Amino acid sequence: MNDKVQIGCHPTGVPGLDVLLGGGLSEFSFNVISGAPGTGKTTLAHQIMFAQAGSDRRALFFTVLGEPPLKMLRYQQQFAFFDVDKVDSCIRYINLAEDLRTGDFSGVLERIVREVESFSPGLVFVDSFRSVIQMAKNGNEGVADLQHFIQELGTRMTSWQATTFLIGEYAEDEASPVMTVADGMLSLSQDVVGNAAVRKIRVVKMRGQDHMAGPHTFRMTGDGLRIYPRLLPPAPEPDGADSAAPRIASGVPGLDAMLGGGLPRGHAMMVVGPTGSGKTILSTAFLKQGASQGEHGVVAYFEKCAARARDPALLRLAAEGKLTIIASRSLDMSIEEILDELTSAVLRTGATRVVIDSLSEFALYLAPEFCADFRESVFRILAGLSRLGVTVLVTMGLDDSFTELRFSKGDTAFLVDAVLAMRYVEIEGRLAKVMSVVKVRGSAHSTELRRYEIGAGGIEIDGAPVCYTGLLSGRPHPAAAA
Amino acid sequence: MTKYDDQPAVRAPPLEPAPGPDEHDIENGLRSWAQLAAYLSPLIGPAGFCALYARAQRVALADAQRMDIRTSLRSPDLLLEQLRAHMAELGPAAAMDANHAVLATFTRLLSGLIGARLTERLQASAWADMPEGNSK
Repeated sequence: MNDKVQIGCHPTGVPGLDVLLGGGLSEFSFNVISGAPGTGKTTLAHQIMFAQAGSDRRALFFTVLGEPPLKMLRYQQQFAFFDVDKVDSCIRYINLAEDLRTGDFSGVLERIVREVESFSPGLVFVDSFRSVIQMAKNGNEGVADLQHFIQELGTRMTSWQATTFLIGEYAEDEASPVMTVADGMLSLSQDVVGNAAVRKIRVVKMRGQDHMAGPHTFRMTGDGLRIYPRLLPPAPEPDGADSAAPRIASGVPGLDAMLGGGLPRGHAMMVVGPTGSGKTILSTAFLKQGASQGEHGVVAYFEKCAARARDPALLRLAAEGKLTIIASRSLDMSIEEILDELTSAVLRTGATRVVIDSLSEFALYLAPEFCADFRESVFRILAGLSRLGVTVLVTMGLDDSFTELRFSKGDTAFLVDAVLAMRYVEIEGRLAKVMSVVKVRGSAHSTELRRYEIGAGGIEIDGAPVCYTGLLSGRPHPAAAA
Repeated sequence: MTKYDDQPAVRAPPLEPAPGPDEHDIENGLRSWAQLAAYLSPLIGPAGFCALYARAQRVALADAQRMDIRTSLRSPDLLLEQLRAHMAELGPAAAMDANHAVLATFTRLLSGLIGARLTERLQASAWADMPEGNSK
């Protein structure tokens, strides 16, 4: 028989936070929410409180010095989680400013205990607890009083079986009795690099739980905080070797044959080429092909919206609910945020095809710290999508450097399963477009250079290889004369 | 920008014309304030309650009708004591008229800060044990 205590865990109601905490919030734990002003401490506390509070678990929110309660109620009501019907019945606010004015901790403690005994809450919040600490008298006596106060508060709240949160502007390395007594500590920050601000949360400690370490990004919207754990989605069940993966049609006649029978399902293919080479047209054909077979598609546009606005077929697919278009306006996004948006769209719609157009502009939407290691950012996006089992087509623009043989920027070609290179060559005094399959992982494929045209019907590929040699070196000669 | 105290004072609708208000009505009016103070003070602090009352009085009443509450700005108990004396001075009819105006303005100011729904909810809880019609 296992007679060890089982620590109950409650979902926090904050998207992503339970993953960081290792399942949820330990019941009866004594926690600190710390961070500089404006990092979202009070909002996080309110979001947790409104998610957890109910007729069976009431909440007491003590306000001390700092944000006046009237303003707190005014501003917190702007969030979707704020449920007016819970205020007063299961959530009660108590202002401790007058009790703290004398600097007498015992009076404050007695007031808290009195209110807790009277209301029997399962959740207790003190905001800002930093104010309480600042009221401590100077010298050893003051420190001893404070230590005693915190110990007493922790003990009494635990014996009342209340999960407690102290909210304040602590530094993670601050030597404070609060840090020692606390079972859990959540640290919020806002990193500003250049013109971009990235909000982050870190579980500094959470006793008794296998929590995730390290900072994780979050965003604050009208719904409250949404945390993006640095975690890839779970891997799908293995369904055999890559070579056996079923092939899917790309939507461009001729390309499937070059790929060795279509693109292996679940693969990520990068389409690289200079401006005007037809990358977006090819990705659109890929989505249309899927839609014609009843497959839902998701497309994330990171280029100016003109291309998709010009394609009525694509807009029609979106209007018919066969395509989900993701287009961000924010220019300080995190990788996790983009991946979360893509993952949510795939899971919500059951999509099997995903297009990212294009990776070149994608970096412009990222906060600087995510641009710094572009390869890692692309890896996290592609690895996340790969685990969903979807087939991905990403486009990447390359500079017009016709005597170089490059297939991607920043070594990102290593991260994909297939590469299709498009480029311009000069043939008989005219610019012509050619494409070639550079790689298809685990599969034989064409190595020929094929000329193609972009017409009203989309991309049309010549049935035979280009009859010239030296095209890639910029010195073309008819093959027969070579 | 709308500032709630920029708007003209809203007078509460007069009570039924006959019979006129009496000492009993004044007691009920004072009790309404006492219960509201007891209920809101833990939430916004005693000083917060007094400050809101002072603002409501300033917006709702003419100078001659106001009481000087500078000395009782931190204590609702002192404020209510002073209010009792002030209402006795004004007489039942004028006192109740002024009281309704201040209460209506107080409610409007609070609603402007925390929303009508929450204000209504808090006032209903504060006056839960008062007979119907005596809380306003």
